[in-house]
Parts: sequence; structure tokens; C-alpha cells
Amino acid sequence: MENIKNSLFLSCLKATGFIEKKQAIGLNFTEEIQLKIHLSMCKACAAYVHQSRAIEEGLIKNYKKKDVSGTEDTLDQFEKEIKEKIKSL
Amino acid sequence: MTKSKDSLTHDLKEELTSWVGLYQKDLLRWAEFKVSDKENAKDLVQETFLAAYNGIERFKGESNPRTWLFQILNHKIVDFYRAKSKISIPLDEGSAFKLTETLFDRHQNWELNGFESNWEVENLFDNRDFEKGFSDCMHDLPDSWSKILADKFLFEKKTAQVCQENGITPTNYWQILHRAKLLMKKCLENMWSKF
Repeated sequence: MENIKNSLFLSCLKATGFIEKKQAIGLNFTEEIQLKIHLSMCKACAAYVHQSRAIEEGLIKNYKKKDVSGTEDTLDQFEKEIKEKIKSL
Repeated sequence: MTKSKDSLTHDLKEELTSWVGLYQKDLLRWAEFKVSDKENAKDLVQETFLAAYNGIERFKGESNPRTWLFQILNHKIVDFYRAKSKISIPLDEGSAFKLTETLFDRHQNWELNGFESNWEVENLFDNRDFEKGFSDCMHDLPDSWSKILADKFLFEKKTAQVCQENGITPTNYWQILHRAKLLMKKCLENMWSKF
């Protein structure tokens, strides 16, 4: 009985992992059903779907906010500087 | 006839000059994200290329130059923070993994903590305390995880490319994304508990 239960019902840790797996590489048919059943029964995991999106939004904001790399011109200049330093070694 | 070690080193040094143009942009963006300062980021990237040049014989031809340069840069960034002892040094993977486990009970189901409703607010990021807390939490992420998040969210690389460049399997990949998000959740809820 325990085995049948385990094969049908995911733990929250597994279910939240499947949410990520689904986005990254996709789920197989069984996993898809398992996740659907879990999300329909588990409020906390359904809420996590929303939390995970908020975290993603924050990550994107933060990585891009600090992405202040200069224009191609300053990059060219920077490249020259490094190459000169290497030559002078 | 095989080439002598010296001439191989010489060839690699020639090649390294071409890496400057190829990888400086990605390295700079990463360094700027890590140290939040343009000038320091430039210095660190310069030091990285100089260190790479001097230590070229340690570069194994079979590994990806980009990965190798990022490893050197990450060491430089850690040294930079050690010297400044400014922000906490990122967690190691083991402790980070253990922290994410504390969100769950022994059956691996959520251990509810009363902060569930804090997430339901519209426009979370309009709150400046939350925004500040969020970027602080990002500094706790282990470097190897943060690097993968940056490949996905900053450099917008596809799954296959991230896996190939970081030498991980697709399973490692989604598991790291999963754990990184859990760690962010843990850190943010921890922050709420202190308000």
C-alpha cells in the first residue's frame, strides 16, 4: 500500500523539483500526472509556483540591474589596455 | 615529431590574446554583478587575464577557456572580498544544500512557518526593504550556483549550452535551479522573521 501511495503521491520537495524540471527539460507522462495531482491537493506547493516566479523576477532584475557594461567602444579600449599589459610582461 | 613544451606554451599565449576579445564582455558583466562597481570589476578582469597569461601552462587544452577564465576570476573576486571583508563570502554548496532541507519536514513536505501570506502581496519588489533583502540574499548563493543562474538569466543561454559550459548534466542543472530558488526562499523568509 505504501508503495502505491509513494508512486502516486510526491513529497513537496519532489513536487517543487518537478516544477523546475518541467521548465528546464520537460516531464515525462507519469511525472506530469504526479505533479498535477500534487498541485491540485497541496496549497503550499501551488503557492510555491507563484513564489518561484517572484524569485525568478527578482533574479533577473538583479542580474540585469548591475549589467552596466559599457558600449563596444569602451570594450575595445579595454581590450587594447589588456593586450598592451600582456605584451609588456 | 611533437612540439616542445615551450613552443606549446608559446602557442597558448598567442591564443590567449584572442580570448581577451572573446570573453572580456562576459567576464566584465559577471565581475560587475559580483562587486557592484565598474572600476573594481575592470581591475579584476585585467588581473584575471594577466594571471591566465602567467599561468598558461596550467590551462588544460581539453577544458573550455571561458570556464577556466571564470574560475580564475572567481578566485580574484573571493580575494577581493577577503581583503575588503565587505559582504559575507558566499555559502559553500554543502551548507547551502543543508539549509534548503530545513524548509521541509522529515517526510520532505513543507514545514510551514507563517510567512506564506507575505508572498501574496502584489508587486513585492516595490517594497525597498524586500528589494534590498533580495540582493543581499543573492550574495549568499554559492558561486557555482550563482554562475549557472547568471548564465540563464543574465546571459540568456539555453539549457544545453549552460550544461556544456559548466560541465553539468541537465539533471544537475534543474536541481541547482531548484535548490537556488529554495535557498532564496529560505533567506527571504528568514529576513521576514527578523522584521
